[in-house]
Amino acid sequence: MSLHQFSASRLHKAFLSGELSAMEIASFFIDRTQSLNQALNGYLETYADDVKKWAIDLDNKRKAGESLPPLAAVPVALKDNMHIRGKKTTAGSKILSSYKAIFDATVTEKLLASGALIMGKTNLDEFAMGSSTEHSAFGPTKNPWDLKKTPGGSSGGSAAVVAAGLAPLSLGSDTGGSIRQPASFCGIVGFKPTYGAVSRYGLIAFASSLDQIGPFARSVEDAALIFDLIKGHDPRDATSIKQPIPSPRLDKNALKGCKIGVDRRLLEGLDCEVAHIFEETIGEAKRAGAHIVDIEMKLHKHALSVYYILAPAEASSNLARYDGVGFSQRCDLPTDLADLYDRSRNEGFGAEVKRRILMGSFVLSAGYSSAYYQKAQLVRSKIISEFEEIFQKVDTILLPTSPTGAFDLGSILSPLAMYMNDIFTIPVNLAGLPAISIPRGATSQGLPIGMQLIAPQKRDNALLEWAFALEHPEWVDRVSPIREGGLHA
Amino acid sequence: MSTFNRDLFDKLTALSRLKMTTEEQESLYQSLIAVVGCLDHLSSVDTEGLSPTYSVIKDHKMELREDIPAGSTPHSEYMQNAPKVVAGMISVPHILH
Repeated sequence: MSLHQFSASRLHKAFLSGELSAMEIASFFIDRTQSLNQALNGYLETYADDVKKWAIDLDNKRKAGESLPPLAAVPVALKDNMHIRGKKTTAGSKILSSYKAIFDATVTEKLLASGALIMGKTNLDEFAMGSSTEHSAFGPTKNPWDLKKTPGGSSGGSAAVVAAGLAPLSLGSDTGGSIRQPASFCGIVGFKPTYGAVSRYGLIAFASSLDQIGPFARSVEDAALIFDLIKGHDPRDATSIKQPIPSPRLDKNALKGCKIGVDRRLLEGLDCEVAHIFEETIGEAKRAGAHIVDIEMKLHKHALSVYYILAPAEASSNLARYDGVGFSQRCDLPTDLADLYDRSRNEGFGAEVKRRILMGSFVLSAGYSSAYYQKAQLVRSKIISEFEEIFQKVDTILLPTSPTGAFDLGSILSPLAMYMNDIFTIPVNLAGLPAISIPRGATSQGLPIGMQLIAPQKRDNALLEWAFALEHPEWVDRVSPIREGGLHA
Repeated sequence: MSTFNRDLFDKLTALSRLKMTTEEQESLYQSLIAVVGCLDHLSSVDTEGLSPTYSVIKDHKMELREDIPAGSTPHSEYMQNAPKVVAGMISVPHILH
């Protein structure tokens, strides 16, 4: 077995026992990244020199008999909307192409304290707005299962590097599905925690009432491992929840007696391969002792509209700061201040970002805010109430993560068609719930398909336990083959 | 709900501080018409008696930190990312002609 197939927990244990040195681990993953990243475009920037320094430090600590932190010597990648002091944080955008962070995000601080080897920053749809990582200013990321396909988005880079074995763990951010959908497309685990469970301090904001940081991993066990380290109240994030979330007790019997809500009405017209894997997953859950309960998510059909009012509204406010003045790219030879704003922003933002800023400005503008923004907030309340009613009857909800498997790069040009990718993931963000995508099968083309479990707020530990029990053994710790172009490693 | 039209679009681009080419404008305008058209059905949802959700965290209260002086980022670090710095200040073009 090669190191790239090791789980995070196995790598960590190998380091602790002395079976592997931190430098051996670091060198392996640096070399693997150098040989494969060009084809994938998963990483935008890598930190080989820093990784080696951290590795030497860890090896010295181990030799000196010092106590070692819980993620010591484990390579981790970060989505490039999370700050690392002194490093570029581009958010996949030209407008931040040379911006360097002057502070660490809370998740960065926690990972560095845990001994993780932060390998680099990964590609994303610009400002996390997208479902394919094709909207990055730095080119698309390719899906390692088929390099002609997208890895999903917006956290496509983070998903691709874990799927391809360039790191066993990564962090992404999820506003409407941007962890779960790429996890599904790339055949790995992607977990979006309860809103507020992980600090957003140092995460470049897209939609502040919806954004949440979460992990990618090739097993639920590994996802739970890193979640344990990054969760927790942070006084620097005013939306950070104070109530501690317990660690899960992973047990394959966790589904016994669990009530799983299923709404088959939502699956009408679904891709038949996705529907087939969904039914197989239900069957597996029943064999594991779960009870399937019929539920009705009547408001599901409104969630996409609510999201595409609220998220752009919040984004238009959050992106107002990128004005070419203090820290973002500035246009050449502005004639006056207004010209500086207008041209810097137009030259710095891509089309999808501009579309969402304009949508946000529209739904917030005088004469329209009542009909759109305020109405959407009311419907959001109704969606939250519906989830609360459903969770009176069931413990968790099972849905496909995405209506399809990974699609061809360049194949979806209509914004509306692209937005439909998130139809099963968006309601979760509106209600601030935890949800996880686990790989459960593949299409006839060999493209992974994930299934999604959703839990009530602050039941992240239970959700991870149920997901662990439902994991398909063929997909645990599985690394993608990297098809196309003759690349094999 | 009102019709999304060209005059409104032009007003929004000005509010959003985006100076686009004619081609960009046309492309975005057409796509926005399609997107906005899909949002209007929300008016049919009964929301009588409901309050808007601005935060999904129940009973969430904004808490002030302790009034204790804490370190702040040095001025020089803030200036590192500024496109143009003159005498320690961010330089911008004139505001008025």
